Amino acid sequence: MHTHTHTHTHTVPSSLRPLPLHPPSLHTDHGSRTDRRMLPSLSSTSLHLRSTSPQLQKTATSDPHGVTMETYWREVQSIEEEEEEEEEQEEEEERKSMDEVELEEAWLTEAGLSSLVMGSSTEEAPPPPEVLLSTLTRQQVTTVRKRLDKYNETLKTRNRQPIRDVRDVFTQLPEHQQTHTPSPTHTDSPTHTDSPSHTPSSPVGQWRQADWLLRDCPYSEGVAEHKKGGTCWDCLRFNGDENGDLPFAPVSPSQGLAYADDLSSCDLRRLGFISHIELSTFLLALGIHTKRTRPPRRRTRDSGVFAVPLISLLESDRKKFPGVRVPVVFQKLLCILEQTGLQTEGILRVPASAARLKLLRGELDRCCGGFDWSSVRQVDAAGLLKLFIRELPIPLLTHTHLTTYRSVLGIPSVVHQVQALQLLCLLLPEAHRETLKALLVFLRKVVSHQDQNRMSVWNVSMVMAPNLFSWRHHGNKRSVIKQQAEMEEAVGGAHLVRLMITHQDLLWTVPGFLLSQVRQMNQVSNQKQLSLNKTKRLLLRRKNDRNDRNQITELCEGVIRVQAPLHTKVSMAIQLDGRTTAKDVTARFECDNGAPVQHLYEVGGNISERRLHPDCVLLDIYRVNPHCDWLIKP
Amino acid sequence: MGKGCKVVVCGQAAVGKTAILEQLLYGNHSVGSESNETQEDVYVASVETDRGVKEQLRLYDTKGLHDGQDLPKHYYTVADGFVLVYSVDSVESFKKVDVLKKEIDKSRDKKEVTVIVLGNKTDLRERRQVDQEMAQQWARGEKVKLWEVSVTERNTLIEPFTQLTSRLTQPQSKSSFPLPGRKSKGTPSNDI
Repeated sequence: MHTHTHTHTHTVPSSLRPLPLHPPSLHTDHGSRTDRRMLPSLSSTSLHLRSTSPQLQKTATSDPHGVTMETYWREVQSIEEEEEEEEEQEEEEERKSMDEVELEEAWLTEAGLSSLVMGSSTEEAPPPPEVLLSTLTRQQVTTVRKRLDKYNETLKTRNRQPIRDVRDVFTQLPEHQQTHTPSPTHTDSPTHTDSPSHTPSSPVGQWRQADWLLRDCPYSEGVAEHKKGGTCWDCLRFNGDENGDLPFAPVSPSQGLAYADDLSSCDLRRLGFISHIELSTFLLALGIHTKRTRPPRRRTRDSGVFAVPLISLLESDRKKFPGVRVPVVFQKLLCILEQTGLQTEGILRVPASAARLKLLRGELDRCCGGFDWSSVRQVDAAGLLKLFIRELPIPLLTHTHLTTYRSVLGIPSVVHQVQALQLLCLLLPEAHRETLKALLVFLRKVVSHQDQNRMSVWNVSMVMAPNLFSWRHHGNKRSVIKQQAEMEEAVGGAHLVRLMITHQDLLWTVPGFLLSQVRQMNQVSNQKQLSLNKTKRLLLRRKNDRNDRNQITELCEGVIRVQAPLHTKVSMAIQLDGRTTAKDVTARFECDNGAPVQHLYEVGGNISERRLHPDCVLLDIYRVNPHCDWLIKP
Repeated sequence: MGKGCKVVVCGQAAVGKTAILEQLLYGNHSVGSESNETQEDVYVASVETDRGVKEQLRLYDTKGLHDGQDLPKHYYTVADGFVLVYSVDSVESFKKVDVLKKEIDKSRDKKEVTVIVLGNKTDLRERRQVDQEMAQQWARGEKVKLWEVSVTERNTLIEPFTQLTSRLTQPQSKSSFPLPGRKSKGTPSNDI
């Protein structure tokens, strides 16, 4: 295993200095716990501790690390106080590892292959497994096959019949694969697939360009070198300047990158399936194992504000504010904090009184609509915000993936950690992703005011980590080993939050290879649907004919017809050249004065719907999706 | 007539077809502004007829015809009405209108179509090549209505389109035997 070795070869011994620990309610020898045994596992994070230290030294005087760690433990302590006051603490039920069958079932379901394990399709029928499988790369297929094999084996040992034989599913694959694999094979060494125009940008300036977003080959193939015990080019390239704080910036949108919220929910669901498979393949390629645990039981309520699932909150919010993407209460809390708290010293860190929080919580739950927000001070808002996150019945990062986040820490380099986080964010349910996004945007704002509020990115991460990753304490009798584990969790969690704050713009960007896999999947499933039913096909053709009558001229090559049903000018044929962008097209519809901001959408063909970035070059899209419709709407 | 009579706006390139439509529909066309060559745009306009009813028109703004080019054939089969546009500063463009009119007549037997003619750019007085009286005489001969208009004066555009819409949406009962129970809404009743 090479996991950490190459990342900290240049670590100077001084950074190996033991970290002081201040766990709450523990007054015995805390010096001895910081022995050197725990350091190897922490080294990658202590490295980052070191890299933030210039900032920390501004805020803290003597021992920067001590201060921030204390921040973490204080936060944990106040969380515990709040909880204990509320109700008797539920006995931490021993979280058994999930049953093997369940585990594999859950995995396959999340990969959109539920029909392989459940038999008949569920209510939200995902595309047939053949469709999904045919769009995967060889490595991704291997991952799925392994899972399915394991699943069937376990079933067999329990004398249960598998729903479908593996061979049934995979028989037609080879042939499919040759025609549909998203062609990562065309390059011999996937680690060097950059097209010449995107030569590695030297990390000067405020950010590094994440040009790997544009590659055709999945992350899991880019790290092939790691399997052989080496390091890949990306690691070398980005680790040279070892600085986790320099954000990766998405490359220019003209390259056709999409953000998660540009896609329709149908495409997003498919994107989630592929992200899920890709993430497992990726981690496997890096030699990282994930363990899943049974989600803890959490209280769920149907109404009110706290302990209500995000999706239910949104449903009721949408009755008043249609199209809202982040629960209104959450937005309100962020808004109060932003308006009054950004300059306040210790924002988010300074706790509110537990009694007051309890009172406010009760009131909010009772009358969320008519709640008087004017009495909520900035400290209260911070407390409520954190409480809200902790009380979510499905954690913001979802329980299915909470443990995966921990495995991200085992990834040897920041580039790949960010890539894994990106995949994790892309497979989150929409409501969760949008809420997380709003939170991270806010946290970045807090950090940007650190001269006034003294909350460095490390401080903010330390405060938020125990709220986001509800890794709980295990009673009061703490063994040395458990404390060590806690310590690791603390630093690790904070490291993850820090990465997410710093590289947030990247997390919502859909890497090129994933989008093309979604396109492929749509295409294959369209073809399948067409061949299913001949009469349907005939009907469809007739319908298309009728459509064509409205747009009377046959279009020649490179001319698109843009529809704008809400405008006076309802349709426009436009000749594309290599520079025409979405912005150019919307501009030609803008003579309708007073109309709200409009976007150009790519609809149909091999995508269900995608909003195009104003700078997106249309000819590129026309080439990958020649049969799409072009639509202008808000 | 179902909603949305289809009207094809055609004529020689650069006579001001798009300008006329944009000025008519948005009222914000600035004369002399840079323009892209139209491929084929469709506008949906709601026009009030002289019977006081609002009717929807689908206006097809076509690609301007260059020398020797003909209007693509399918427009003749689709259109319920035509707006032929020429520019008073170009005899060529007027000749084109004549050619188009003849083409329309050829395909006419299948379908009743309404045709109006607009002579644009009357504001360019010193460059005028098409005599107004001559043009009107031609129009009388062809039995079409002709207006001289200028995009600089939006109100010159309104009358032609109102008339066009009125004629397009005219109840067809005028011809032979009006059926007893079939009174059209917009028209004053003509029984007795």
